[in-house]
Amino acid sequence: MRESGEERFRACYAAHVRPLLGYALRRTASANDAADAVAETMLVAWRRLDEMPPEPETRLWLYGVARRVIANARRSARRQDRLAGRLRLQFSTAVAQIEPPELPIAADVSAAMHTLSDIEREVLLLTATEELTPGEIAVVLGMNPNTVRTHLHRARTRLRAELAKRNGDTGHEGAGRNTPRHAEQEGVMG
Amino acid sequence: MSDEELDRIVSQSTYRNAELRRLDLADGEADLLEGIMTSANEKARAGEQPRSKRLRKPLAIAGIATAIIIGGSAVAASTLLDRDTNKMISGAPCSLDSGDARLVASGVDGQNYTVEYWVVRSKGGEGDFVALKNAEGRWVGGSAGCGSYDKEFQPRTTPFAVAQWDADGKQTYLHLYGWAPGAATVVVTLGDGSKVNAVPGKDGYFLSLATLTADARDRIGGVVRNMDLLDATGAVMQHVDF
Repeated sequence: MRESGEERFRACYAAHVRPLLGYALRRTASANDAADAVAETMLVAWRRLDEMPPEPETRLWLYGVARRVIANARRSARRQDRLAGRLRLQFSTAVAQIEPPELPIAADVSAAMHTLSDIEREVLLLTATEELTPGEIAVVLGMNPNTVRTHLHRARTRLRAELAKRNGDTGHEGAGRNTPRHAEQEGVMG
Repeated sequence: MSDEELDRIVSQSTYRNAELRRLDLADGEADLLEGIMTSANEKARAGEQPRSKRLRKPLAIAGIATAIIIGGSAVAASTLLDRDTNKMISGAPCSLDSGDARLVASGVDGQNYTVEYWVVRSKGGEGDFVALKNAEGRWVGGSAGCGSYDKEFQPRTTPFAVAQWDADGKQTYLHLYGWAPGAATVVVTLGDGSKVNAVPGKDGYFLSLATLTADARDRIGGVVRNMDLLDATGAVMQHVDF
């Protein structure tokens, strides 16, 4: 029984750790924060293997776990156990191999995204970067698909308006800031 | 700009999946996976069998040995900012002024640590800090979460809750704190589905300290799922998902 669980977890890790890392990178302030989030998500996945749904919903379940991990981490700094520390080190090293995009408007888009509400930003990111359908997003967020569509429509409308405003505002000082609230954190637990 | 074009711009403005798929994570991967699974198996061999989903739900916080909630001005007037907490707040990476810090709640947890919940709500930023002191009053640790205000961010308007813990291998000492403005009671649902009730002070801040009878860190998972703000009649005023 446990062996089949181990096989399942290994398969889950191999299939989903990179998408999870991307998910976390797009929602945290640094590669270290993203690595922390993935490490904790994988630990939760193993410890709750009996609750993890089979494919193809595994990825959605993992996104849901990661979302809660990141939301909580934004306001707190938890002590990490040694396993999480090792995972974090590995991910941080790997992520250092890649660079964030250098698209000229990336900073403006990033800044404009942070004018959206948390849920609008999340729905838009899940659509545009994780390439999920409203039905799949509804599973991740635990809400009605129609509600997802409403948030998505509002997010796109507001983002368009914000980008248009920023394009006409050459003196904008805040462009390029990509720091979620409470993403800057410090753990000093003894 | 079409929806598809907008989505493409969003996608191209952040880390791209194609690059992440090429990441080399192989180094040490086998050891890490083994470590994760061995950790849990050791726990099972020690007699702490993984609980079924059915059992997890009602387990909740039934083993609470201590639950102390103190909020409001009575606490704020009694304690000054000590040197270590001052250092933690002023050293947080959000350029906060520790002179703006105020103590909103405190209590004593199951390991006899005094837990102080400090907040900063200033023009420049906000922060939530927990300081732990032992029975002799010596600072033994703490944690910090903070954010800056700028053109992109508004002062916090959404209620929140944070679950942290300390553990000595036998018990888990849960420190739950947050802000639930206007609520008479707040019900926080943790990662395992268990619920913790807390009573906010008059300014909305709450601190709930609980001793769980076993090492509950795995089940809590460091995750707060949601919180319900209840009015004096017990009716739900607001539900907040995290």
